[in-house]
This record gives sequence, structure tokens and C-alpha cells, in this order.
Amino acid sequence: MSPNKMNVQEIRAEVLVIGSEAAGAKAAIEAQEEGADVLIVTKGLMGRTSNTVMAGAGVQCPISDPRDSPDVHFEDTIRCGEYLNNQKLVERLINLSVTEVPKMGKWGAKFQERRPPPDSPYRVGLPRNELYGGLPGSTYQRGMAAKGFHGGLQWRAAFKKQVKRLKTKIMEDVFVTSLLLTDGQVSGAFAISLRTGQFLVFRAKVTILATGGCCQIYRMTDSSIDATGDGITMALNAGAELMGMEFQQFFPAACYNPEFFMSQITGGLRYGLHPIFYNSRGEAFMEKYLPVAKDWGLRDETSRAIYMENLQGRGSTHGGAYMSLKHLPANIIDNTLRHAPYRHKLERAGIDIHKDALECGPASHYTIGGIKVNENCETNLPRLYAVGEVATGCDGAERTDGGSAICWCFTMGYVGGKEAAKKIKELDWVDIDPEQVNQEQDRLNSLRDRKDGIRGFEVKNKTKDIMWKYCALIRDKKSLEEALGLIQRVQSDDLPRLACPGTSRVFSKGWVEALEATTLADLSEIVIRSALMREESRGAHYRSDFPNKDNTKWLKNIVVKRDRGKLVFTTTAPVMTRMRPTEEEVKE
Amino acid sequence: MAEDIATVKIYKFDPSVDKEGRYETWEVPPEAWKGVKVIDTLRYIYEHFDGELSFREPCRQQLCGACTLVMNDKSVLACNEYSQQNMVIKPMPNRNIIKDLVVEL
Repeated sequence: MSPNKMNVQEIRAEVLVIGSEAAGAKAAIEAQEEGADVLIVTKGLMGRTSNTVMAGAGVQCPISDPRDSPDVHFEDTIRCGEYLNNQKLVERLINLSVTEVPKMGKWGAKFQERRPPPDSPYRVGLPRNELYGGLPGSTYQRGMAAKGFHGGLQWRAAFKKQVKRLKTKIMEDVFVTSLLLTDGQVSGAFAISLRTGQFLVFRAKVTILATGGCCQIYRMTDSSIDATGDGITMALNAGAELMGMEFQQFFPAACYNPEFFMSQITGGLRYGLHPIFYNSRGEAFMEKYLPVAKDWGLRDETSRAIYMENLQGRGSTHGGAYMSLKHLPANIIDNTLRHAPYRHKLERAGIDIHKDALECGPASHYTIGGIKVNENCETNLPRLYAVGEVATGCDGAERTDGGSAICWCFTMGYVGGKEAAKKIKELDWVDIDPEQVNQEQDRLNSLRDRKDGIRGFEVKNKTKDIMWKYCALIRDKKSLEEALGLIQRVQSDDLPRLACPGTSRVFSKGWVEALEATTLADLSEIVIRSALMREESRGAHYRSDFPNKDNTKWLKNIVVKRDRGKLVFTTTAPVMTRMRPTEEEVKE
Repeated sequence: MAEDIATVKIYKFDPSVDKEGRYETWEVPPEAWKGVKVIDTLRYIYEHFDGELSFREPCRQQLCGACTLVMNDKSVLACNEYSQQNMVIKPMPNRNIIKDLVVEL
């Protein structure tokens, strides 16, 4: 026990929600509306932390097109996820989306008032290929567009309005470092209050994790720097099962040049106008890889095509491809972008979008895998729920494009909040185990006080480079084993040497980054080992040594769990209630 | 080359030790300021000179607004504004300062 131990303040709430953005805020509000005593804690500032605020225009909801329905939405989701989804969960969420997405309008979000008629200029660029009538993955146009084509701002406005109305308790700049267990049940969480540098203990009847994904494991990412998978690691360390960690989604059109990762802009252009990708020879190459979908493929297959062109020396100067709208008449582009908020940004960067291509390429965008939950968003740990990107089950092996994540956040938030509010009525309080609190204090103190060694950002950069180089879009046994060796060296040589500059504990970035470095390295190991185990290619996961889908052996989810310190990998059959692969698909 | 060096003066305040704020001045090489954003210059200083510097940088894509600060008397998003050769960087005015450039928003 360290001599300078502080008194740790204990804060109590019936429902502790870790994470304040779409999924967390939604869960908190829904639980509070059922009368629960709720507390939200968040790593940054509500409405400004993590990925929700960066969300693009749309949110999926099967009510935009009269031909669409929850059934078609369900089928699209399962087909895109290649049958690895939890169908019970997907069915529940899609049925809820019909009420929960429009409810955002009542809560204060503004949607585009009139949807454009089917043949308006806004739709001219949209392809009508035999695969998708809407965005890639969707049979029909399924996105409800937020006003100003920046969904993040609308969702933030709505949630802020609701937490103000309900006077929801929120603690900002609180970095939760671990979950606390009592007799195998989650009894709360341990955290650093970044504003003071002091430790906090939260005691809760039920804890809901809504901390987002771990896209920051990759060098190339368009995610928030907060997206370090803290919640996934915390849950794993407490004994929760993770699933599908080999599935990490890459967005094909992150801007590589002129300004890095203006994904909302390039995403807007891609979904609004259907640009064509060219390689350095000026060839439109997508058809070579995706004969039917061409430039309108799903995110990972499109990303892979760009990556392949680069491997063969035909990439753009900055390692991507050239995304161009030159095939469209100028007034179509102008009419479509009339209300887009980013025209001036393109102008400032010296880009004339009518003539010039943007250099775009893949960037880690969404964590498809995560904490395994059932259709009630319960994890395998008693009293622990997970909602939003931190959880898994909705997407299987691949997500449909455009607004599915936000749809899951709203609907999982609803489920998690309501289920937690129900649960607390039948639960008693449990005591916090002081020994765990002491141990966590010691771990954090010794890290904070270590002066000599390696800094968090250096280790993070190392991990990100390893993952980008060896475990991103195209994987094989050799590259994955190489990656595993390198990551294990980071874990054995660098993590024990992590140190923090200076002495101040107030808003210590060095301290936070040192903790995140451990998280990123540990999650990377899991991604690599899951990818090694899955000897086939499916959805976001591609093995060049096993390039085909194998429905005979691999119609399974990979589950990982920490058992007495050791990672244990197993497989389990996906929850299939309504849709199964056809016999031809199994034989394929 | 002196004409390639930028001078960056940054407001520093740590409520756990300081009674009032002060400034620290850093000289940074061209890769840390030419053609990059203010947020990149701050990152460079944090990584190379002042590991205790606190600032917010969640999204870096001009979307969240958390990195708002004052550069040369102008309120800017640090992730949107290009760095200059002479910069004075202060936290947002009229806000409770948590540390250095980090305020309550």
C-alpha cells in the first residue's frame, strides 16, 4: 500500500451510466423517466466528447420509403452482417427504431423538413444497381437526414435539452479506470476526476457502459481521440465476454489530402453524389474488385479495393485513391451541396470540387465487435449493461452504410435504460470491496509517480503503427503472427515502463494517455488473436490466405474472456431466429 | 534557421500549485507550425517540451468545439486555425479555468 493514499470519495447512484453521448445519454434519460436515480459520468464534456458529435447526416429508420419496413431493414442488416448478428437483438432494436428515431424530433433534434422527391437533383448521383436502392447495404433509402446535414449537432442539442429538463446528474471530465466487483457482481466503478486529480468511487445498483469503440488502435482513424476502448477493456478485466473483435470497420473515404480526416465532408460527398474512385493512372478501378456494386460498395470491401491498388503501386500520393465528382454537371453538384455546411472548407483548402479530386482512403471508423450482450443489453456479468458501440451483436461481420450506428445507439440506449430501471427495483445495494479500491489506487498512483520511462503517447503510436501495418484491411497468418509478437513485446517491455511527466495530477494528459496505452495494447492483442483464429474472410475481416467465406466452419462468433489473467477464446453459434443462410450459401 | 522558428507563448495555470496564471514561451521548428493547425503545434509542444501542458482535442475535425481557445486575441477552434510564426495562446475568456488551456464549457 502506498503511503500517500488519499481519501476516496464515494458517490452513489442507482443507475451509473458511463459515457454521455448518444447511447449513454439515451439510456440515462430513459432510466430516469422510469423514476431511477441516474448519474452520468463522462471522460470529457457532454456533447463534445467521443464520436456522436461527429456523426454525419443520417440515422437509419425504415419509415422514409413507403416500400421499406422493419422486416426489410432486418433482412438488410442480417445479410450485410453475414449472419453473425444476434437476430433477437436486431429485431428488437429495429422494431424500436420506428418510434425511438422520430422521438428525437420531439426531444429537440431537427430533421430535414421535406425529403427530396425521388427524382430531385439530390438523388441524381445515387446509383440504382441491383444490390442497393439506398446507401450501400440498404434496399431502400433509409436514412432520416438531420437538419444542416450534421446529425451530431442535432443529437447533442436534443440530449442536452432532455438532461436539462430532467435535471440529470452529470459529472464531466471523469475518467473511469475500472469496474468494481462484489461477489462476482458489478457494484460500481473507480475513476479519476480529471479536474482535481482525485480518485472517486461510484457505487451503483446497476452500471451501464456506453463508452464507445476502440478505433484508436489504428494509425489511420477518423474517430475521436477519446475512442480508446476504455469500456471494452474494463468489462473484459472484470470478467465480461467480448465478441467479434476481429471485425473492425474501415471507412473508405476519409480525406487523406488536403486536410486529414474530414470524414464528414467526404462522407457527405460520397453519400450525396456518388463519386468515382480513380487510381494514380486515372483508372476507375472499383469495378475490378466489385463488379456489381462498383463505387457503391460496402465500407470494408471498398476500403480493401483502395488498399489493394496501393499495394500494387497505383495509389494516390498520400496512400489513398482519388475521389472525383467530375462526371457530374456542375449545377447538379451545386444544387446538391446548396445546404452543405462544408463548402467553404473545400474552398479554403483550394479544392474546386467540380474539377479536382479529393485524395481519400481507408480509416478505422467503427468497432463492430465489443462486449457481448443479449437482447436486453445485459452482459454476462450481473448488474452490468452495455449499449452503443461498446457493445456488439447488432452488426455481425459488417455494418450497413450511413446512420446504422446512431440508430443502434438510440435503440440500445432505450433498451439498456428501461431494462436497468426495471432491474433496480428487484436489487439491493451491495458494498464496495475496499481491497479492490486500494489496489486500483496503488496501480494508478505508481503509474502517476513513475518519472522515468516511456510516455503514453509513444506507446500508443507504436501500437497504432503495428495494427495499421499488420492487422488492418488485409490479413494473413504471417502478418498476424508478426503483429502478435510485436504487440506482446509492447506489453512486456513498454507497458511496465509507462511514466508520466511532471507532478501535477490536475488534468494530466500524460496520466490518461498512459492508461489508454495499456488499453490499446491489450485490445490490439485481442483483435489480432481473434483475426488469427478466424480462418476465413467475412464482412470487415479479410484473410488473404483464406479469401473465401466458410459457412461450414465459420458460421460462428468468436468470444473472448479473461480467466484468472489469461485470455480464453471460444466460439459460439450466432443467435439465429428468423434468417439462415440458404443451402447454396452454406455450400459456397 | 531563425526565420523558420516560431515563437509560441502559452498560458499556464495549475490550480493545485499556482496562485495566478503565467506564460511560458517555446521556440518550435517549422514542422511544428508551418502548414499545420494550432492543435498540432500544441501537441508538438506537449510531446517534446512540456509534458504537463493541458488542452482539449477530442475530435480534431472542427465538429465538437471543445478545443476553442484564444490565439493572438482571436477566439478560434485550435483544430481549424493554422498556426502562425508568433502566437500567444490563451484559454477561452470568462470561463472557469481547470488547468492551462482547459476550461469548463
